[in-house]
Amino acid sequence: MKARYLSILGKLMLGLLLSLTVNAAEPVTSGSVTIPNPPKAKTNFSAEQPCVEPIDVMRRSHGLFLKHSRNDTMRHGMRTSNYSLVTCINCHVTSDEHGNYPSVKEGTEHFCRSCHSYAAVTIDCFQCHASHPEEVISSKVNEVSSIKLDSLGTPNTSP
Amino acid sequence: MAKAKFETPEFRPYPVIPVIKPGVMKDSRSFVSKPGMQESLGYPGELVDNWQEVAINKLGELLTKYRSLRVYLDTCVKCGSCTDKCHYFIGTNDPKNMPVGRQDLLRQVYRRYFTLAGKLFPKLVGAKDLTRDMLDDWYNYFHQCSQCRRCSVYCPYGIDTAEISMAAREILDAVGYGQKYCNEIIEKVYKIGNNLGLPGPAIRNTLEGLEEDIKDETGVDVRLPLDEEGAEVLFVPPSADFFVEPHVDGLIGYGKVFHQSGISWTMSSHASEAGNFGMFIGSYENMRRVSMRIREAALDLKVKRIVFGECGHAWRVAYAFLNTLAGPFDFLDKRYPIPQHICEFTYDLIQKGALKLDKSANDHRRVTYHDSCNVARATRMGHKPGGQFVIPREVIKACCNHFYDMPSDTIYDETYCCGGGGGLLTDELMEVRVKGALPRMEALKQVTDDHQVTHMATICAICKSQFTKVVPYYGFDMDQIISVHQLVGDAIVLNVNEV
Amino acid sequence: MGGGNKEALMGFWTTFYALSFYVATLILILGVGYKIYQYTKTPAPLKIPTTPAPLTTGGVVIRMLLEVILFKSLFRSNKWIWLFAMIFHGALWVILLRHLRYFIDPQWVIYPIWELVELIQPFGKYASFAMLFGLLGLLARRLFVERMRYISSASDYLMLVLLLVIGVSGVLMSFVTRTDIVQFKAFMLSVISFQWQNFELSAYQMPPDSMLLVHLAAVILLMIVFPFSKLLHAPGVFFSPGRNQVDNAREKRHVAPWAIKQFEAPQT
Ligand code: HEM
Ligand code: SF4
Ligand code: SF4
Repeated sequence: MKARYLSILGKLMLGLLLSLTVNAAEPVTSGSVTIPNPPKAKTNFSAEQPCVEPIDVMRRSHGLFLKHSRNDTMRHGMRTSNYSLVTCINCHVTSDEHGNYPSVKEGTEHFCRSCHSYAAVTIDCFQCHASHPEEVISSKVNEVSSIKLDSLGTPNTSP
Repeated sequence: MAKAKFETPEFRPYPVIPVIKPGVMKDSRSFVSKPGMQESLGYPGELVDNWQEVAINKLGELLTKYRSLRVYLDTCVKCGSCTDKCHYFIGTNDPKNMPVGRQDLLRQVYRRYFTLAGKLFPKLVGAKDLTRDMLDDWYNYFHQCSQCRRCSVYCPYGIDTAEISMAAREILDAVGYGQKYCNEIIEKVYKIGNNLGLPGPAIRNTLEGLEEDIKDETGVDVRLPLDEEGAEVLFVPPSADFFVEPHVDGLIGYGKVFHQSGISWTMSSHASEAGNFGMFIGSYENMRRVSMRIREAALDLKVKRIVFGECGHAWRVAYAFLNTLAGPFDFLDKRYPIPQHICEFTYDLIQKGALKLDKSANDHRRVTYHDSCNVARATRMGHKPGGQFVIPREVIKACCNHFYDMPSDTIYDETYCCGGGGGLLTDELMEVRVKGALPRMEALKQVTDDHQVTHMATICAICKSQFTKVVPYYGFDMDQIISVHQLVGDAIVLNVNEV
Repeated sequence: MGGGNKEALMGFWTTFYALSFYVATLILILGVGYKIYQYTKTPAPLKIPTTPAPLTTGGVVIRMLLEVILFKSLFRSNKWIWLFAMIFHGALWVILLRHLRYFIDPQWVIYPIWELVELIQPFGKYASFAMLFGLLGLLARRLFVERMRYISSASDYLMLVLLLVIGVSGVLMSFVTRTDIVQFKAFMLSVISFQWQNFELSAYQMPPDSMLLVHLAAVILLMIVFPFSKLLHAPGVFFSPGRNQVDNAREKRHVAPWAIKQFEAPQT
């Protein structure tokens, strides 16, 4: 039951976002109230499920998943494939028609940033990790390494 | 020493917060006022039939007249900060003598009749009906508060139980359930002119006698003038100064100071009392009526200045309220504070070098100083905050070689009341008076042990009367209590200024 | 209730919470506003500052700030109460600031303000533990110190319990059960900008998380009881004559309108 409800809700939300999409990364507005409009992912995780977990689980707990996988990786030396930041980025961060990736420091177009700036949550992942899909890293080494380590606070992606 | 029906508290080896003993002081009760006294103050002679209604209405009226009452009844968060600060709680352990416990007697009724929460959910918010038991609790416990304001120093909102006590007493008066001690005294002021009921001729006699005494002792004609029109200063002492020991030695001291200052002065038989018990019963009207006598005397005698003698709550009414109640004093000399305290007056003369003081005259005394509660926490002397602590000490130090302060948490604005202020200086309340003196007695014991202090000086008529009566219960001698102006009077070298 | 009804249910909760929020805000503002009006209108007929008191208005402002920010009198009185009170109130303010993020659309404010809101987040998140610690300390004192028990009524305990419920549900939501922040913010912004039509869209509804429902219910209750309870100490402290009066009784007459009417009117 819960799964059915979740999928309905997920589809509804996606549908809503899509139907309101004018310009893929601009926030959408209903009345005067804005909500973020993260760019659509490149692929679905499976036929039933758009992402690695149901959408509303992802919306609540992606921060926890990433934090856990970080701890597992760093403390226990294991990489869990399901919740890998790199995989998230690869699928979710999309380029414009010129092949340029949005900045994670400004604007609302970067997938992570679209919501994080709305909710006033700073992201520290990208002090070390790449904010763009892996294949471009080699060609844009300079740009990535120029991201300054100036984010404040502790790793913080939860509410 | 009077025979006690109660036990004098033991000195505590170290300060502990007492455990509570609910109800131990429930029956400590001063006499209820008589119909005649009630009526001459404008109140019903005895408890009216519809007292409950009258009391609630009176509370409602006071809530619209006094912001203090309204705000204080609303804001208490029951943080407990004040619970161990009242000398009456320390001495008696009765939780209704904790400041917040005392306030709650009125607050519970306020909540029941004046707040939504108390009307709807009385149990939940501790709201209570005004029953006869509650009324008696009001009478008993609001007459176990000396209105000393010590609690207000420590309350995060400055909630002053004295304000609550005053309101409660005014309500009690309004239903015809006043206290005899206070109301009798106010009646005497109206009928005779002072708290002790000394008629003008008696005062004149006493003063003449005292002048002779001074002459015999010093060979100098120090005058103690009464009703002399055209004097520069109207001097208003508490009436106890006219003949009670040790007060009267203070009066001789004032006389010598005025004599040396060369400033003409007079006392008044119309305003022969500095004290104003109108404050104790919380009555603006009576306090104003008592204050007006001073204005009238100042006008009649055509003086330029008003100076008050050593009296604690009198100084509060004079310093903080006189201008409001009986002002404006446009006819007085604006170069001097209106009114002025005798300690300010003496201190100014000392500063100017106008008094010659021989400190060695007090060498047989090792002195400490008791800050009177109302002077400390409701008034000022001089031009700086805290002058009320500095100036009397400076006066004492100018007259004595041996001065020692009591422990720091018992002086200045943390001073403990003597235990007899606020309308409690009556024999029926001896138990609460003796017990309430405990913290001050402990502090005195400490300086006695540490510095061999022999005398405790003070500037309040009530403090002096209370201490002389209760110190024997704690193993001290009543002669150890002394007026600040007795120290001055003894040290002053007369006549040096005279040509 | 079948799963299919859950959406309808959230629709109901959305409406319910939105309405309660309006009602609670009205009660809070009108109630506290009325109390402040009442305090302002009630005269203080006599000068009663607890002395030593400042001689100037500027001095009074400093005295008041020391009381309101540092709880100076409480510090002189009792270090334990002071410690718990400081921790609780300090944390409370930080947490309140952190919650600004639900009420401000970044597009409404200039960037530096939003940056401050971002900056406060991690502090606010951990301040919640400090607040719980302070509250537990105050509750323990109230429960275990005999004098405190004597002066406490049910409402005194319940107030602490209510704040604990708010704090615990908030912490659980932050660290364990989680909720959809973006969706909740969309709901909250719609509420405060009166965009009720948004509630038709599930992206603007209350997220269906029980901890959030508990948290908000407790907050709404707190807002409602505020003007009728001892929480009036927050505005009340500024009106305390013992603390806010200038010590200048000898220099200035200070007569209340009712006293003039009663005693002086015939003469003027
Ligand atoms: C100007 C703002 C405020 C000031 C100066 C202030 C000050 C204080 C002080 C000094 C205490 C006594 C110490 C204690 O028991 O903790 C206290 C108690 C309390 N305050 Fe505040 N406060 C303010 C605002 C608030 C607000 C906005 C709330 C709640 C939402 C609040 C809730 C409480 C509670 C519940 C207590 C009682 C604690 C107990 O039961 O022991 N205060 N406050
Ligand atoms: S004013 Fe003094 S006597 Fe009255 S409750 Fe406060 S501390 Fe006790
Ligand atoms: S210190 Fe003030 S707020 Fe605290 S319990 Fe006493 S009166 Fe109430």
